[in-house]
Amino acid sequence: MSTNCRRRLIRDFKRLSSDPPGGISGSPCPDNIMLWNAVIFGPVDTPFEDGTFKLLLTFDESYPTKPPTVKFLSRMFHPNVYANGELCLDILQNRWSPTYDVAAILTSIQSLLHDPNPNSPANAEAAQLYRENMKEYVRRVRATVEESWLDPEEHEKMETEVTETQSTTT
Amino acid sequence: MSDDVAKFLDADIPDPTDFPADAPGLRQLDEALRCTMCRELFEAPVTVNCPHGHCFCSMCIRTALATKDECPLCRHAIREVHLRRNTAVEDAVRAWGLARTFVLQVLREKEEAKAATVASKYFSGKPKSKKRRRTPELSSDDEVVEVGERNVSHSLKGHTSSSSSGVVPCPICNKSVPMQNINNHIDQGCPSPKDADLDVLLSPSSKSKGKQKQEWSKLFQGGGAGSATTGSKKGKGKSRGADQDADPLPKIAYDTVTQKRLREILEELDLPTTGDRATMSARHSRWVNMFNANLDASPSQRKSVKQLMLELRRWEEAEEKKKTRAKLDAKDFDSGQYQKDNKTTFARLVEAAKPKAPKKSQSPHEGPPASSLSPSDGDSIAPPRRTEVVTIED
Repeated sequence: MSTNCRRRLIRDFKRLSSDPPGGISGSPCPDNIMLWNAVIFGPVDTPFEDGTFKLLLTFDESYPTKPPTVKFLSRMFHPNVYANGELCLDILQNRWSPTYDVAAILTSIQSLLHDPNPNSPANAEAAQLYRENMKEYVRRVRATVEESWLDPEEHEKMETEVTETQSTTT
Repeated sequence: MSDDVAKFLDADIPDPTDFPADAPGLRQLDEALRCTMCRELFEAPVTVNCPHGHCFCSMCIRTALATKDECPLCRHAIREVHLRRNTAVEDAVRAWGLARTFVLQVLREKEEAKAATVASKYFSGKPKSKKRRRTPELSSDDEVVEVGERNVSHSLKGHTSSSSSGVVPCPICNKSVPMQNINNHIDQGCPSPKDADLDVLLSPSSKSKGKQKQEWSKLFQGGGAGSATTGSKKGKGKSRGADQDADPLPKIAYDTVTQKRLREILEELDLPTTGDRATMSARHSRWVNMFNANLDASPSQRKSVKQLMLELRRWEEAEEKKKTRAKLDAKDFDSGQYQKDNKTTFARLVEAAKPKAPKKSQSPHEGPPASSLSPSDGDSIAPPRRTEVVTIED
């Protein structure tokens, strides 16, 4: 029944609000419970520390039998995150279990930031740096952390500046 | 939290969080009697053959097993033929369904009494406050408990076809019950509604368009589907109501049957034969799961065939909608623009996610502090809390 999915999502939201795991938050769009915005804080003692990374979760009526689609809205530099923000995370694909809820998904993503898996890289450059040049990896990650603090407008401005300087140098 | 989103929290969906976190055992009890997949109170609970003996709603686990032959909680290989009814849990759920409302009521009265005492300390208590305790006021709390439990369908009105025909799913047993009977139904401990009650909604719905709908209403109109009226017609499928000794329906390997045969099978089961092969297969497999799951409930709790048909129709309508609904176009999606449009939302979420007192223990690998809900025993049937999620992944 179509309502099962919505009832479940409301319960996910109740649980997430009443007993929030540290460093994650999420809420459905007011006009569409199938679409959730979420924020994950970069875990302490990782290069991602203090980053405020934004995500979008898209559910359909087959939830929780099928997993939602999850993507980062913030730019990420991580071995298991594609350039378009999509993630390579087993529990969102073949290891999905219908017992997971939104809190479990977000917590898993948080621990993915902690423990990248360079063996199934979605971003080859990040995976290579993670294995071979930790210093450069950390530098690149820190750049995305600082970017995550910016307002979307500021961010846009910065991007156009970057492309302008790039075009003038070439 | 903005008011727009708070409406979801106020939605009348019973949940363990209805109980105060400091009331010993109540949240845990409510959670333990809920299926870890749908988070409803167990409906026809069954135990699977994993070493932990995990328990799920029959329909939930049957649906999950269609995708993967493993226990959703511990990933041990399990098989549908090994599902066993768990009558102890079923009885506990039925009793808790009744006790729940009462307990919440008692808790609220206690809370109000406490508030009144505190108030009287500060405002030189008037005898009036004593009376106030007993009067069920419509505070926001009341809505959650009293009105809430019963009007589940309200918040979801727009999404089901049920409300249009005056039928709501019971918040306790999830059976379809005519709206005007819902209070009685709950008070009497969730008996199966009589078929006569359902006739109201099975009669051709107000706007039946399309062949499929006509087909459905024909079936319901004829009354042929009711377990009581079937009796002797042509097949064995007919006489199998929700009888006590009914046999489970066999599964079909859809690749091996012809479309014609599939249509015949549906006909024997009194199901519509509209749609293409995929639609018919989906309809049949859903029906088999629903029918067999229903047999896992104790006879007094079983739904009638008519009721199951109604649910099947609703499910199919939802499936139709799913197909036609336009999806968020990934290509046109501008994440920068989206973030701009939702700037305030994200600012609020950042605030919410901020670790309250930055402690080292925030690292997920040291395991978050055990919440009041976490079971001490890792093998218990409680849903995977965050600590468990990490272990399951490994």
